[in-house]
Amino acid sequence: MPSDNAPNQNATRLQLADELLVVRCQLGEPAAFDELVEQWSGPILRYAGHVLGQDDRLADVVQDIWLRVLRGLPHLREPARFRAWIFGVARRSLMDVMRQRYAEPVSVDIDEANESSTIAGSDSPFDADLVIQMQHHLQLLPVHEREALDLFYIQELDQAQIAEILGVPVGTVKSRLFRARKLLRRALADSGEAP
Amino acid sequence: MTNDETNDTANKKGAPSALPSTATIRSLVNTELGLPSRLGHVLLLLVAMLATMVFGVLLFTEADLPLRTRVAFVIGIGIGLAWSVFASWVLSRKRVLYLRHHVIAARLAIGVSCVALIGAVVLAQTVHGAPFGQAAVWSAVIMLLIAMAMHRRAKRRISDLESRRAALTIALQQSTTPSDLSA
Repeated sequence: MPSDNAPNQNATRLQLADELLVVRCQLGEPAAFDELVEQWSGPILRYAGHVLGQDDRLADVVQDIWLRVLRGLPHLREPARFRAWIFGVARRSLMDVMRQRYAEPVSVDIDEANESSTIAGSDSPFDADLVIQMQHHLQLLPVHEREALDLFYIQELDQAQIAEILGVPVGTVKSRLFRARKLLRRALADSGEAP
Repeated sequence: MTNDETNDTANKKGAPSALPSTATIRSLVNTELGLPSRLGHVLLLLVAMLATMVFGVLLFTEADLPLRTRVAFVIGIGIGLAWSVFASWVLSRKRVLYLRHHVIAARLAIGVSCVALIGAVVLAQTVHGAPFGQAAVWSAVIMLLIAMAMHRRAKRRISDLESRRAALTIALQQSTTPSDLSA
């Protein structure tokens, strides 16, 4: 009989797995750090890519994020909060870069969107085309809305975790998601690509 | 598509900058977690603190020192403090100590404190009754006690984490659903 609690059980198992990985890293297990890199290099890179867009500093920023993670990990007192914590670390690093080029929408043309689509890693021609279009419009969103969308739909965090990462109330996260969806829908409708 | 394949594809398409691959990140991690640099800064901190302590004890216990000698001791204290602050900053911000590093660092501190204590006791015996000797002995004892407390705290924290690791491993095994078992 399928369990109605399957999503909750998965979330619990995920949290347990995160916590175990952090504890093993804090104990200095070399294999744990290998697993940390394997599991999180992709999500961190994707998140940074979505927030920064096409930026020559992306590689440096990703490396900076990892340095901050390694230096902050011994001080993490609540390993169960690792998922929100690591995205919080990434966000602070990204905001340092964003402050340098004030929060204006990044204009990404289709050719650049073709390159950035490789980050999303699509599997089929149809998906690749849709991903390119979505990423094109995503990059045109204001940074706050873009960030909320990325964390919710792509990184699959819940609203409470996103609120913790962004340092805002849950209500603000909901507003940003609502506004982001509205802007994205309008952008797709304007470009004739509405579903 | 793995992160490395993504990076290769992006590079072949002439991406503006090479995105760090998983291998690059792993190399960064290994470099960042290296032990020699950490131990070097721990030793620097211990030696700087010891030198500061020696100059301080000399300055405050030796009577009738010429002015130039006092000035030299003050400068020595300043240099020792500066190196102590620098090494502390590196260890708290750049070469952060993980728990096993804390244990090694504490053992180093115990070793250095024991050497300092032995030296102080010999000195106290040699210049019997001089205030410097007694002050040096007490300073070394305090240093040794602090090092032992740090060692005990690090060991206790490791023990707590090892217990937590075992509990999490069991909890994860128990959280395996029947559908997972039948897969």
